[in-house]
Amino acid sequence: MRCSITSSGVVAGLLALLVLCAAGCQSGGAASDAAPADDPAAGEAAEEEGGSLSWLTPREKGGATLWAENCSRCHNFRPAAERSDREWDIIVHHMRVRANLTAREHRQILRFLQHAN
Amino acid sequence: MNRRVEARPSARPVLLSLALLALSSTFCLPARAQETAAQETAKEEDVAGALRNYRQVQTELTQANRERDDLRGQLQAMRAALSEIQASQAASRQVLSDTRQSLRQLADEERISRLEQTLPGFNNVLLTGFGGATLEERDGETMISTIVAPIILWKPSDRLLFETELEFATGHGEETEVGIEYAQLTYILNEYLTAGAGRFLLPFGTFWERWHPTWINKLPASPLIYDHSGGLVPPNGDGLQLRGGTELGPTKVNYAGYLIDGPVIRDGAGARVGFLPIPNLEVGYSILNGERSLDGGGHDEGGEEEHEEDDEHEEEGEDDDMGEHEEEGEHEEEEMLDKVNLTLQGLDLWYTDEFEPIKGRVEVRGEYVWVDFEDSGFEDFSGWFAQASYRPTLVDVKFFDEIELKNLEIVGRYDQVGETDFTGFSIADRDRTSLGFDYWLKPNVVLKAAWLNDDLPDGDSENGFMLQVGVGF
Repeated sequence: MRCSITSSGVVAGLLALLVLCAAGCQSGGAASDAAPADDPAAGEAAEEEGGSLSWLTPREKGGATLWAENCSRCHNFRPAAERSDREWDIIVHHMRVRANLTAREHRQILRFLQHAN
Repeated sequence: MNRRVEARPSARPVLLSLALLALSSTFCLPARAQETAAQETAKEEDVAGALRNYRQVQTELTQANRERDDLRGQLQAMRAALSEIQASQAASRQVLSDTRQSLRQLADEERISRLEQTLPGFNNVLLTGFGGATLEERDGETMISTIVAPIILWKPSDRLLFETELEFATGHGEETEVGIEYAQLTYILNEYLTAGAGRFLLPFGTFWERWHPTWINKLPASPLIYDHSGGLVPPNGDGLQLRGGTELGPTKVNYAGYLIDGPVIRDGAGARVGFLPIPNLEVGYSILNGERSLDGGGHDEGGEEEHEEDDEHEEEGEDDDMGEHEEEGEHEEEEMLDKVNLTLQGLDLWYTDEFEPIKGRVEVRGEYVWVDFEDSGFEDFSGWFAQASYRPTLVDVKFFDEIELKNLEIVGRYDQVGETDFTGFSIADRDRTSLGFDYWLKPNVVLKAAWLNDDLPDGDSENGFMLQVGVGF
């Protein structure tokens, strides 16, 4: 393969990602891991009060808001009652990979769907 | 003479009778008076007695009424108690029914759990996917095609996920085309990174990864730059990838980097970064560098063997050194034409929002891709598309009690791309304008109708009409 500056840049970027990976491998990340210090209670309380929640930062938003924002980016909303808890666990993991959801979005959206089904 | 004497009664009997009568009257009158007084007394006593009886009856009647009222009250109380008992019985029956159902569910879960334990690979497996059927009419010719794409998801642990999408498609000849769109194992390394290995949809732009399924793509056809048969951007790659997403203050960023070798791009490396300044807007940049075969598809083992055989035949036919040098030159020339090194870059944008004044949701998508051929003699070219759609989600109108206006969506797309089949060096532009109407029977079931006008590279213009049903399951 002829290496161009662009290809080298890409490879360098990948190496940087690998370094990030090695540095962060101890910090967990699966949906069942203990969540970092984020407090969805404030977001969920705000959701109950209703109204627009776009002023909340991503860390403050509850599962319902994150579900509404992320799960309509590509397709129509699928009703929570469509799937069981086990099925949502698999599907939301698949969506984390497909749509590059953050770890927190993964946890919050999964929790919301498993409560709402 | 005796008759005259007999006719005159004697006065003595009469007088005697009168005396007796007077005498009896003298004796009887007091008795009669006594009798009358007695009678009156008796009558008075009868009246008093009757009056007493009346009062007694009245008293008894009053008491009877009281007793009746008491009995009525007791009856109502008993009826109320009976209702409570019946309600309590109904609640008990419901509790019993719920308990039975819970027990059955527990038993089922126990059976499933035992089954999953005894059949490795059946733990946490989900079958999903999509399908569709398309009718296309273009310049008088009609073609019907179908596609079924099962997606199997297997999650053996909290961090591991295996996912694969198979495709079975008809419509391009008599045979059924079978393909593996992706088959990869991913592992969540940490909060920010997920690693993947296998065949995966390329993180270039957003179409292949996010909206190529029939029940998500709002038009029957793919954008030209992503066309399955010869588009600029191939759908998948075999290799390794790292990807993830994270919050950056009030914004969000997602990223992916990968190394691939086939099936279309060889010795490739690429990446995509997406930025969401607000939740309903994403802008992205993609880059992919590698080698692409010039025979219209990927490298195959047969092609390489044929080239080797050709080399052997040529070598057998030549004896002198000059001939051998010429052979090597020809071989190098063939290698140059076999593949070309290129760099694809792309910009993508997505935006959606719901607006009260227009009573609905608007979505806008657009992507621009350009190709840089490095020292190959190919002319650099590009392609792009812009798509907009509107759905009256806030309108509550029904037709014929079945058709809801808010389930109708209108979509328009304009495509432009320079086309090459990678067998030569000619590139010609192709434009296409599409207008479609979708009706969403359910969130994952859609009927699509689209009209398109295609300005082909050879200068011809074709009009077409497409009907499609798309289902996600």
